[in-house]
Amino acid sequence: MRSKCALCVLVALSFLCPTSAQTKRKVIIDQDARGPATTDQQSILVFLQSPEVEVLGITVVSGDMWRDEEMAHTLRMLELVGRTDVPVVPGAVYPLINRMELIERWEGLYGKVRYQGAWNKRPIGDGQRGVFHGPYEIPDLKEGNPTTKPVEEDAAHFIIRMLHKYPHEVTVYAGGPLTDLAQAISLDPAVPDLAQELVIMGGSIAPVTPYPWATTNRREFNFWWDPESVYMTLTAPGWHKITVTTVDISIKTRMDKAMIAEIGKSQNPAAQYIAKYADEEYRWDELAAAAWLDPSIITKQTQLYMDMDYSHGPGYGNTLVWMPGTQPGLGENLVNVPQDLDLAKFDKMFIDLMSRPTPGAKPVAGSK
Amino acid sequence: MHFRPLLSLAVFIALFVSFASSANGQAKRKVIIDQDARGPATTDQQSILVFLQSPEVETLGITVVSGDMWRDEEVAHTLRMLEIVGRTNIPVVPGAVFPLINREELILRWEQLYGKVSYKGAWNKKPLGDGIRGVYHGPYEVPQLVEGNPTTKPSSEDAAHFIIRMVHKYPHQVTIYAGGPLTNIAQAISIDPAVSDLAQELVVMGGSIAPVVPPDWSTENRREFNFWWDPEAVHMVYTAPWHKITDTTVDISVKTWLKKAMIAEIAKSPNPAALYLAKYADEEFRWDELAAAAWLDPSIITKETELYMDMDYSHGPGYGNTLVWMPGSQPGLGEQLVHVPLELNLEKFDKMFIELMTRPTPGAHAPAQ
Repeated sequence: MRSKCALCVLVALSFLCPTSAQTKRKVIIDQDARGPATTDQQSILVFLQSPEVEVLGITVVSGDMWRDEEMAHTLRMLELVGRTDVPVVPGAVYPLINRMELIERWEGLYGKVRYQGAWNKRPIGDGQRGVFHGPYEIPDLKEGNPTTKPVEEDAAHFIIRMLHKYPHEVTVYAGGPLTDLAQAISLDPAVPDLAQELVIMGGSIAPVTPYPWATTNRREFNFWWDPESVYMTLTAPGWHKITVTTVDISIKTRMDKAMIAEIGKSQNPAAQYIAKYADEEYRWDELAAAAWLDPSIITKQTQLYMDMDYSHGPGYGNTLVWMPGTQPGLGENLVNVPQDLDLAKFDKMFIDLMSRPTPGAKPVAGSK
Repeated sequence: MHFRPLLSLAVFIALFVSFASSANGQAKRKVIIDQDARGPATTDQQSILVFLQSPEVETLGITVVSGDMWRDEEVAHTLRMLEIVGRTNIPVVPGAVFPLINREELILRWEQLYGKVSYKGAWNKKPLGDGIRGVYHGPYEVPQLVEGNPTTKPSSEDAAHFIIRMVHKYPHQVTIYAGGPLTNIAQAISIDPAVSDLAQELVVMGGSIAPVVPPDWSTENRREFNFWWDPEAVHMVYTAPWHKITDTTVDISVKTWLKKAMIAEIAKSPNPAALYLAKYADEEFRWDELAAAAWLDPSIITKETELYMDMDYSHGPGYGNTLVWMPGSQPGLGEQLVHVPLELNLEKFDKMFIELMTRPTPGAHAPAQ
């Protein structure tokens, strides 16, 4: 009797507790990981705070800041939440073709580009951070300098290796310029097929925005920093599913002081990190991550063919989209474009994620 | 009783011998051969042989890029050539299958706006150009090789990482030689911007300025195949800071026709490299061989100039055109000063080439049948 019950209990338990390693969703987070906090680190936290996610690594690309400074911010954030087991992998320092000097000349013909990330002469844009400096300089971090180190492997190689190791199981998430992805695809054209799906924050179609912004409303920073990489990534054959979160929906997701305060009530490390360092900002990259975790927060979505204008004329960096049937058919893929969300649901999910303890954390490093 | 002088002499001789032999090791010039290695023979394999046949050269590896043919077929031709001459110890490293941005379909559309492109390498629907080889097929198909299929295998490392690893291993000692499109080198520089400084120098066959050619050719005389296949890669490579760039353009290439008589002369030698050429070489310009030979012996170049060089990678009518400026008139957007050979001592080059191709292959193990 007793042993039979014990057996039943065991069997029942095995049904209730799935082998957690197998059900974890694997992701590579490719990010222009400005910090501290901001949409860049916060989107990484969306993944880290979710127990059903296995983050294989964070591949870091220049964009909002230069790569080396971004890696430092990422390493420090991982120390603060106790997840230094996640590899931080160095990606591209420069876009493929675009250059600061090129843009300075381009502006002479085609007008000012307001937000230029690491090329900003002074911090602008929301999530303002940092001072203008060269590609390899790392200023002292206000959240404390990290003691941990990035891995030596480069991002392209890491991406290729992970996708071959776990074929059709890894989501590639890109919250910044697509240089690392383009490198990986160029080195190994099997990458898009081997990935499970591609999730991007980038591009801009017809956002409803105030006037200074509306004058350049096809330009979005991630894509503009490296348009050639966007073309290479979006026209690569083999992707099983592409989802692109554009500015159009991003601007419906402002994180305000009240939300930061709400999160700050929690004493857990991730919440404290946000309480100390977050600013009011659109949740550009967090939404793309959260919608991958829980697609039900997206209430309206469409499908368009998408590509990038990489001609170096006035349209350089503009998003190109076509209704199915009107696309030129030069490799463009059909892309899922979320358009509307359940904001209350997303807010609740986000506050809950940021407030909870960090799954799998080791004791937290000293925060001084 | 007379030990000490003898001992000193022995020590001196031992030191001298070790010094001399290590000096020989140190005197070898290291090179990575990046090639769109069509075969059998043709300028692509023949230029690789220029390096292999020279005892003062250490070839670290052959990194293979699509261009004249698709990469996998080119890798097969290279492996087979190395088997035939007995140098299978040289790594054959697979590089890029596709150019960064350019695509066959893109060019088909481009031609409808801007006119036919005569030579398109692996995108040729029918074999065209000198060194005619092969049939049109997809990127990963490897047809049966007329010179026999190889049994050896390529390296499992990719070209970009191989290049990065080698220039870090031997800083400022490795020449990067590029006889085909520059995709591999652009990949390497993008992943590791230190590559251009760590290399000793860059030697390229590519580009076209003002060659003296027949009318059908001169209508598009700024377009040269290697550069046109991947213009974005050329821009990336040519705006990176190298210590020295030498670019052999079509202008001088068209002075170096490989005649049947020269092939017959080479065929008199019983050595494997010579037999390989005797069996498979065709009349052709010695595009890539000249760039390699001039690196070995700069004295074959009798006139050279220096120009700033870049590439038109706009996708309009100028896509793939070579851009050049006299110093002082360049836009200053990262273009480098490039050495451009203009004239050569053809007799000297012919003699050197015949001599290289007819000698035994240095360091060869027993060649394959």
